Amino acid sequence: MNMQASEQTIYVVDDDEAFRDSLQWLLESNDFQVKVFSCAKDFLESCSFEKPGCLVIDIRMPEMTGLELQQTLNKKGIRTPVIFVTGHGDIPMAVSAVKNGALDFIEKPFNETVMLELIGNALVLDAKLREAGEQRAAIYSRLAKLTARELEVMDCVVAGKPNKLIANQLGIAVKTVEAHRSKVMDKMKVNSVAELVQLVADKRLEDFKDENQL
Amino acid sequence: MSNNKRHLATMIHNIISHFAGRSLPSRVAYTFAALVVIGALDFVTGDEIDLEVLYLVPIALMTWASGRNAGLITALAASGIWWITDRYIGHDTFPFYFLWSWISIITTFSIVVIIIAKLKEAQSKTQTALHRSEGRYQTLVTAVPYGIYETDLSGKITLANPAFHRILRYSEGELYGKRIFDFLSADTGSELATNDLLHGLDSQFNSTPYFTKLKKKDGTLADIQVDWVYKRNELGAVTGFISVVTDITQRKHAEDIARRQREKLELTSRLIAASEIASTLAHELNQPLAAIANYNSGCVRRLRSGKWDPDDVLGAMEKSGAQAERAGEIIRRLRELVRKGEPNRTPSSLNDIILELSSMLKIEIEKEDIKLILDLAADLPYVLIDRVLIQQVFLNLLKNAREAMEQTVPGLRKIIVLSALNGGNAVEVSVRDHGQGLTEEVRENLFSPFFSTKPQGMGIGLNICRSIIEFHGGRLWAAGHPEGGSTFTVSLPSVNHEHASI
Repeated sequence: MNMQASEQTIYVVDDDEAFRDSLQWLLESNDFQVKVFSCAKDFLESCSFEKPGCLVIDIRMPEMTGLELQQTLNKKGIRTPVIFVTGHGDIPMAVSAVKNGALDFIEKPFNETVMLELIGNALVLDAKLREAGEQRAAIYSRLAKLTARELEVMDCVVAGKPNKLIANQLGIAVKTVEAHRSKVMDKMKVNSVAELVQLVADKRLEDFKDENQL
Repeated sequence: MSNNKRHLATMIHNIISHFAGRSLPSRVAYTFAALVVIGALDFVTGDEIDLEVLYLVPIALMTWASGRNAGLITALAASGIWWITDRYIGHDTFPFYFLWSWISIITTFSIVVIIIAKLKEAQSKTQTALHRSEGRYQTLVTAVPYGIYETDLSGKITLANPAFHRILRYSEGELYGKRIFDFLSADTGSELATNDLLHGLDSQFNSTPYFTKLKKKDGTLADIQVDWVYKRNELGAVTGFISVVTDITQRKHAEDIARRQREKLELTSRLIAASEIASTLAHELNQPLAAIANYNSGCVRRLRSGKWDPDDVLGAMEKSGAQAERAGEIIRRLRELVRKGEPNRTPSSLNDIILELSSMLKIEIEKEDIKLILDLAADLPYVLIDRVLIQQVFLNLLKNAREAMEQTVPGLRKIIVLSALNGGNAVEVSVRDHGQGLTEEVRENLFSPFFSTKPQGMGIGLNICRSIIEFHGGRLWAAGHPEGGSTFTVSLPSVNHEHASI
C-alpha cells in the first residue's frame, strides 16, 4: 500500500472545514498525499486528474452536491474511483451513488481501519484502470498508423476469414492481401492472429464500457 | 286550598260524566225521580222555605246530557210538579198571582236550559277540534322519521310510533307494554338518565335531552339522542313521559372515524417532526464527532509509527478539543430551541390530572374492553408541574398500558392507576397494566432513545416521558409485576418539600 502511496493522491471534497482538515491529518498520518477542496466547483477547476489516486466526496454539500459532482465526472469520462461520505445514514442517496459507479460509501463518523481499507481498494482499482487506459491508448496509437485498406483487411482477419475470401470480397489479389496482413501484424506489434483478435476484442469491450458508462 | 278546589271540581266532573254515561230512559227516570223528590221536599217544608231553585240541578244535568229540547221538557215537567205542590200548599192565593209565578218560574228554567245548551254546544265544538288535533297528532307521530314513545310513570310503553319500532328493529306493536328501562344498556350514562327522570318528578326539573344507548332486538346497541317532556293529565299532574328519539348511530360512527383519522394525522405529523429533528441533530453532531475521531486516529497512528513532530500532534489534539466543544454547542442550541416553550409550572393535584384523563379516555378504553380502576389517595399534597407536559406523560403511559394488553384476554384487561404519598415529600403515581410484562432485555432498553417493542414505534415516547419527569425533579421507572403485567411509576416532589429544599 505504502508503495503506491508515494505517487497517488487522495482528493477530499467536503464543505465542513473541520472534517476536511481532520481527514487530511488522518490520511497524512498514514503517509498518503492529500489534497482538499471545500466545494465541487473548486475541485473541478483546479484538478487535472492526471495524477493517480482516488476521490473522497461528501454526499451532502451546498451548491453542487456529491452526486452531481459524480455525474459531471462520469460525463467527462473521468474514472477515478469515488468513495462517498454520508453525514447521517442517507441510504437512498448512497445507493444511487453506488449505482452510478461509486466504489462505496461510508458513514460519518467512521472507523479509521474501514476508511483506510476503502482507500486502499480505491487506489488498487485506480492503478488497474490507469494501466488498462494506457494499454488502450497504445492500441489506439497503433491503430492510427493503419491505412484504410489495412483496416479493412484487419477487420476481415479478425472475423476469421481466410485470405482467399478476403481477396474475393475486397476485389484484390491474394498476394496483396498477404502483404497487407503482414503490415497489419507489424504495425499492431503482434505475432499471431490470436493476439490480434485479443487486442481488438479488448478495445471493443472498452469502447462498449465507455458508451454505457460502466 | 287549591287542593280542596281541585277535589270539588273532580267530584262535579265525576257526577256529570257518570250521568252522561247512562242511557236516555234511565236518565229520564233519574231526572223524574229527582223532580219528585224535590217536589215532595218543597211540599213538606211548606211555604216558609222556597226550594224552587233545586229544580235547576236535574234540569241542568238533563240539558247538558241530552240537549236543549230534553232540557225544556224537563223544565216544563219541573214547573208542573211545582204547580201541583204549590197548589196543595197554596192556600187561597190569588189565581192570577199564582199563574204569574208559574210563568216566571218556567221562564227562568227555560233561560237556564238555553244557556246550558249553548255552553254544551261550545264545549262539544272544542271537543271536536280536540279530536281533530288528536287525529293530526296521530298522523304526525306515525309519519315522522323520529322515534316517538310515551311511557307511564313505571316506564311502561303506552305508545310507540313505527319509527321507534324501526330504530329498535321490532315489528310494529311489539313494544307496547314493555318497560323502557329494560332497553337501556348497562351503560352508566343511561342509568344516570333513568335516575334523572325519576328524580325530576319531585322537583320542577327541566327536561334536558340526553344521549344513551338502547338495545335492539338483535342485541346490538343503537346510539340515540332523547328529547323528552312530561306527559300531564288535564289537571296538570305528571302521568308519564313523551320522548322523541333520534338515531345517531351513523352520525356517531362517522364522528368516530373522523376523530380517529385526526388523531392518526396528528400523531404522524408529530412523528415526522420528531424524526426530522432527530435526523438534523444526527447530521449536525456527526460532523464534529467524525473530525474528533479522525484527529485522534491520526495522532495514534503517528505516535505508534515513532515518526512524529510534537507540534503537529499538539495542533491536531487542540483541534480535536475544539470539535468536542462544537458538539457541545450544538446540543446547547437544541436545548434552547426546546426550552423556548418555557414550561409553565403551577401547583397542581396529580389526582385531578388523572381524573381528567380518565374521563377523557373512558369511552376509548371501554371500547377495548379494558377496565380502568383508579385508586387515588385523598388529601395528597400538590406538585409544582407544567400540567400539559405531565398530562402528556400520563397519556403516554396509559396508551402504552392499553397497547400492552392487545394480546390479553378481554375479561382480564385491567389498568390500575394508584396514587399515594411517598415518604411525605413526594407524590407517587403508578400505572399498572395486565399485559405481557417486560423481558429482561426490554427493561434494560426501555428508556433508550429509538428503542421500541412496537412495530410502528419510534422509540421516543418513554424517553421523552422520563426527560419530562426528570425535568420536574422527579423520577420515572418501570418494573414487572409478580402477577403479570408491568408497572410504570412516576414520582414527583410535593410542593412543600420543594419549597423547603429551596
